[in-house]
Amino acid sequence: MLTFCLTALLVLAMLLSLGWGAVSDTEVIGALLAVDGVSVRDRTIVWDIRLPRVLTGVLVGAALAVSGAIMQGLFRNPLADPGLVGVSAGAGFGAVLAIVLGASAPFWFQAMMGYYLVPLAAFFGGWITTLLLYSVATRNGRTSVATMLLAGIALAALTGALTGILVYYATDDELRDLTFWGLGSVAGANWQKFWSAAPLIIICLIAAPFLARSLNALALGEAAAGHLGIRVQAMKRIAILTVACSVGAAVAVTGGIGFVGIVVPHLLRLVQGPDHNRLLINSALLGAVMLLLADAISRTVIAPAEMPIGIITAVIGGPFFLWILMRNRSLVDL
Amino acid sequence: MELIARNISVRFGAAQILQNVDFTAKAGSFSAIIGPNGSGKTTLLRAMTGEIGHSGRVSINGQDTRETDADTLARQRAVLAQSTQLAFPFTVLEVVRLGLTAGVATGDPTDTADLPFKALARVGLEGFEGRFYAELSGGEKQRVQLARVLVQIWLPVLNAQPRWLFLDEPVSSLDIGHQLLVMQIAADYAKAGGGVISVMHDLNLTAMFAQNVMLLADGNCLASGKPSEVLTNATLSTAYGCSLAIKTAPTDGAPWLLPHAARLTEHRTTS
Repeated sequence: MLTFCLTALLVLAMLLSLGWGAVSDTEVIGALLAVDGVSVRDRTIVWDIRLPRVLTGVLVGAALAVSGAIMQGLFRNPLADPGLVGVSAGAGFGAVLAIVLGASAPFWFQAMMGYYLVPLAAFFGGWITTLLLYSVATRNGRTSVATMLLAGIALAALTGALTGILVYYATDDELRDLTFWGLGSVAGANWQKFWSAAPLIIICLIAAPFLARSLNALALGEAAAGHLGIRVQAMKRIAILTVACSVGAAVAVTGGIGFVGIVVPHLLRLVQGPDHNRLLINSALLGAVMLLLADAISRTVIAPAEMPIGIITAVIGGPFFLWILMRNRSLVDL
Repeated sequence: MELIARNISVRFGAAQILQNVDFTAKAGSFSAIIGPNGSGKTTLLRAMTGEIGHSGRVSINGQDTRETDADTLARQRAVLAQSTQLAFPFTVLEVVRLGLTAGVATGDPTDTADLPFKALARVGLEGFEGRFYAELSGGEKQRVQLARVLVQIWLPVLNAQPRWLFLDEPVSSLDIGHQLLVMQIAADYAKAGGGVISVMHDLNLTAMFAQNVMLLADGNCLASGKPSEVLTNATLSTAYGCSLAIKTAPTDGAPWLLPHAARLTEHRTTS
């Protein structure tokens, strides 16, 4: 656990020193510590451009990895991932709905919701998708993996199509928002976006470790978990809410970044075993590190231009997913 | 102290699985539920553990189970299913420790760490702690699950309240030596004051270990009482559709069924 804490800190510092303007490590630290003699330009770069981006990356990476771990525990299957089974797509639809229709909502409504409209809409989109998915794929406490993945495809296709329809109604300004957002990137992060998503994600990250005991028991099946004293129905509802909340908030800020939720928990299970007490916390840390690394790659491979981070995670995660499938063919036997 | 189930009925869609079944088990004794395939044995066990919806009432130690919260129930009774599919690559020790989910089973917090090891030794799996559950044989898995269940309610009596062990065909995947070991563990649990309720297939093991037997057929109670009263040719041939030669075991005087002398009764052979 300590290892990952340290790695996360290390990568944070590395990232701060990377990137556009010529700001050195010492200047970064100077700017963070508000030491005299650091130029206004450097301070702005560090404080207003890089720090929100890095913190957004940390939160989104943690949110995606933890949601992946929770979903896998809930569905009792290492292949469940918010991106793969349509939860991210559902959240995306909610976000697009808010971007396109939010402007035509009554003024008092806009004023009340503020910047939280998009993350909240994404949360509801993700929530409804997760509930639908669970009710379709799980019968008597058993999840059929084939049904789960197929239902995920259907839900992703459906929400994708609905999102596509909405794009036709978008104005030029909204369209630019949507395009940028759809690429899956932390490049657009600023303090305002960070604070719109941070509360939801932080609540989920705090709630997640309390699910560990139940998720461990659930590995024996719903009936056995119930006999062990777990309130299975209540626990499932909380788990689904947590996933929808964190995925919704993450998708609202950065768009669909895939595979973090499947790669991180799987790697950790290989290293530390499947105990959720450690898995959830370590997933948060490793998820943050992975996303920051992917962001660093996305900024440097075609510098000075940036590659959307979703492309990086898919290039790494796609083959990784295929590797899991080949190792565990029995998991997806129809 | 007793476990009392009254008027238990269960329907799955159009099929009536159990009809107004009454069942009583006493603490300090081993009660067996027997009956042919599809007679509703497992369904009755699941109804009594609250796993499936049913009409009628179940009370444990005088308390209605529907009015008892999950945590309290988990400290009162433990359930061993016929087979358990594990989702992730847990080790044997991690699986057994899941038995402590509802808290310390003994009331003594100091022996929590020891308990899983004791339980594994009890089921003959000493030294298996670090092995991966998924790599064990079917019989070993079943004994690991028994160890987990034992850890959950280690002391047969806690605060003068008996605790209850529900077993669903606990020996069906075991060799004869381990069958005897598991039956002995259950019998010892009952002897020490706990209650044991087990669905059984093997009628001879039932006769050897059970003090009370209920015979189910087509969702109804056909007979219930001591093994010598229930395990008779008349009741068994009605339920199972075959006639059996039933002797008395020379060792303990319990009924002794000779499979060699079993014959399918007419309605079985013709249908």
